[in-house]
Amino acid sequence: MRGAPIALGWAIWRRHRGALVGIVVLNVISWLGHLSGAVGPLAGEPAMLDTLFAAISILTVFGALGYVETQEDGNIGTFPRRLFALPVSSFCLVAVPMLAGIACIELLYFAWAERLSHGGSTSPLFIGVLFASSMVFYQTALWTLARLGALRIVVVGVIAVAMFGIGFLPGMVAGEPSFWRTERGLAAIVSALALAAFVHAWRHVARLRSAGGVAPPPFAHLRARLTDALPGRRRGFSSAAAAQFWFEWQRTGMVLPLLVGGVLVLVIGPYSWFLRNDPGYLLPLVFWTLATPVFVAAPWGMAFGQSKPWTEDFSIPSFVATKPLSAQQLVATKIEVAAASAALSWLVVLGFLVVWLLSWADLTPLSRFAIQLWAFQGESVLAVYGIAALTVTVGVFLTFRLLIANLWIGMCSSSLVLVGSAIGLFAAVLTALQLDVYRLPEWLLADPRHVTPLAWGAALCLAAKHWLAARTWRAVAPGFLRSYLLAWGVGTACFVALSLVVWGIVRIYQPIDGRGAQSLAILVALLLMPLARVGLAPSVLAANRHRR
Amino acid sequence: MTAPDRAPAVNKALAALAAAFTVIALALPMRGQTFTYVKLDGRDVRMLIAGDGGPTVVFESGWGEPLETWGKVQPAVSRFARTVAYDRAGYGLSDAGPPPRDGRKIATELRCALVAAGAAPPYVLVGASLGGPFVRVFAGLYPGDVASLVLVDPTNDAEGLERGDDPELAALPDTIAQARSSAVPAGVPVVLIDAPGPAELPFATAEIRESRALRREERAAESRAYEAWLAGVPGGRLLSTERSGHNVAQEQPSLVIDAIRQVVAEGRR
Repeated sequence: MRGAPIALGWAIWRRHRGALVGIVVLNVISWLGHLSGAVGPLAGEPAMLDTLFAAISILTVFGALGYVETQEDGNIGTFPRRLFALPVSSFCLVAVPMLAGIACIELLYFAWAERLSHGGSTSPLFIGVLFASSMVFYQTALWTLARLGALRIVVVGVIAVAMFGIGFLPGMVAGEPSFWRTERGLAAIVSALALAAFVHAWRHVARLRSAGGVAPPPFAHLRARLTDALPGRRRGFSSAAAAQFWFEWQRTGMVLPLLVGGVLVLVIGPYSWFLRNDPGYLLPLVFWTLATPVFVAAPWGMAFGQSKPWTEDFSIPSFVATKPLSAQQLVATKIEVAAASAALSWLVVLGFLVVWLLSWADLTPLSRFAIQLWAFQGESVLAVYGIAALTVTVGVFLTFRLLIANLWIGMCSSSLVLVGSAIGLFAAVLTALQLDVYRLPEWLLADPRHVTPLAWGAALCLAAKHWLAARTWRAVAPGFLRSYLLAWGVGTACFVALSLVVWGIVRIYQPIDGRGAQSLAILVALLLMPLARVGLAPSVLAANRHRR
Repeated sequence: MTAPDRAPAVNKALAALAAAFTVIALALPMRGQTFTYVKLDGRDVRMLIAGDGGPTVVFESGWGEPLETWGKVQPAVSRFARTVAYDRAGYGLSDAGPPPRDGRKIATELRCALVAAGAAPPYVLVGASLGGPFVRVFAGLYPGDVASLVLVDPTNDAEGLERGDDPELAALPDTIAQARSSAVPAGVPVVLIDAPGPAELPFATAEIRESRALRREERAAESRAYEAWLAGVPGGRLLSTERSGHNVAQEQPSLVIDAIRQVVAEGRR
């Protein structure tokens, strides 16, 4: 090797060449699809397949080039400490992986840009700056916040959502915007922050390398005194299950509320402030506020099911496996943590809504919506409040459902099952795209008779789901079954009730087989809460509890 | 030595639940609606025909609305009379029709569609909003076919109407002129539902209250115009409600159902 930077670059390539080759293969498949005409013309709307492949490629680049190494305890570690012995400067150690990350993400973006952007108002250069900066922020967060462990996902998630929001800001300004809200201004701000992040990461690695250890966080002394002063847990736990709940809550339960709070404060909050004089944005922003827990829970739910989220070691930690708790109790605790996490996330959402709507929102559009709902519900104010409460309850159950749906996969503690489920999901998405599933509503509304086959499909799924549940729950203690059935029953009833309310309003405007579509809505609502999969979790945990 | 306990093949309680859900799953997809499609000059017109017993109640929707707009009214009326709701040409799932889309063309097409569907007169014509002028034109063109008229907050003759791009709105001034010149046939009862909306609204911001205050006089003029028109119609009745706005069929369906029930009963006597 001619120099240390090239050697480092070569090491990065050797380590991640599989992922990078995979990205190139996806790109080639997409091009071949366009050339053969199977995906559609380049000049048309972005193909769903392209969007999916590009999203997978971007996530893979971020995943591969985070440049962290797993430590012996299984947790995703921090900056690779083995490199500290190399005869290179700390600047080089930090700059090379960052430049490699930036180069990869930029190449990827510009390789896909033509296929994904058709006449949008945002310039490709601005998006390129955002991608490069995102890579710097991402790597800095992973390296410098190692003490947060799995909670770094919260910071990474907030960075991602914030960068996404910044990308939309220039297009949302009406009239002549100030320099700092133009693409140039925002690019300058983001680049300066990225430079600061780089310097911070460099200093951090240099300190680690010189055996300085992790720098104490700012105001550490004050924080320690504050923590001591706050009421903390002094007593022992009343039971092993209570201790396990506390442990699970610390490890996974608080992630979702933190992530939701971060998105609301750092993204929705600024948007709601900047757009406070434009009433047209109120209802979409309220919608996105209410959708935040659901959208965040969808990806987080995949990790929540695991015993140790975001690790490469999928086995149950011996610390958990040897606890004096049955597999059912461990699963029950996980479900309770999921319920508390979902409920707290929605409390955060409601708290944010109260502060925002009562402080700086122009409530007229929301008021018109409520009046229309009131008129359609027989002028009943109670019905409006009832629908609002039902919507929030359904949101809580939907969030809860997304957290526990993959519990059985996590309890398998098998990388094979996890990878298999990911491939299955990927295959399902590809098949759906191939079948143009996104045109389903259009197809459904084109002819009232189209409702019937869908309703029969849902009916078959419903029957299969419940017979499978009768099988998977056969060896589970009645107490656990009763507790879960209660939650399942309330959740399902709420889904059905809201589907009927929404359908009662939507049907007025949609030429469709009204009764058939109502049946379809009920059947889909009955399918939403997981039952068979949850019954599977205790048995797979019992089988894999002590396997490494 | 005893054999170890083996788990049962299924959980009995959940098996019972599965059996119940299987029944539900089999029953729900059978609850479909069957629409009637009739051909008018090669174009499809979608109709929903339900119930039994004369006179036939025909629903004419407002501008741009599909027949589903009568979803809260038609099932109830179908319990005591034969009912027909349909999509006018170009709306819902009916094919677009040739211009002009004025009252006369629409009334003619409606009569042809009713005949093609086997719905024999006499008809109780129920028209909401823009459907009001259309059923008045129908009554003028086919006086012998009409048993009674129910006008649900209809588009007013006196309204300051502007032409729009939509074919029905483009022909609106002509439709209004045709409705004005169409006399209600002698002996045909007319019920007009005037829905100025509630005086006070919950959830209203100051801006909404202000805009409603400005529209109050406009709405009062509309009510006076209804009264003036009904004064010239023997047997005309005005039902005024403050419990509903313009979408009476959704907001206060019971009022429409009761009005139809009344005229159907009178027709049978």
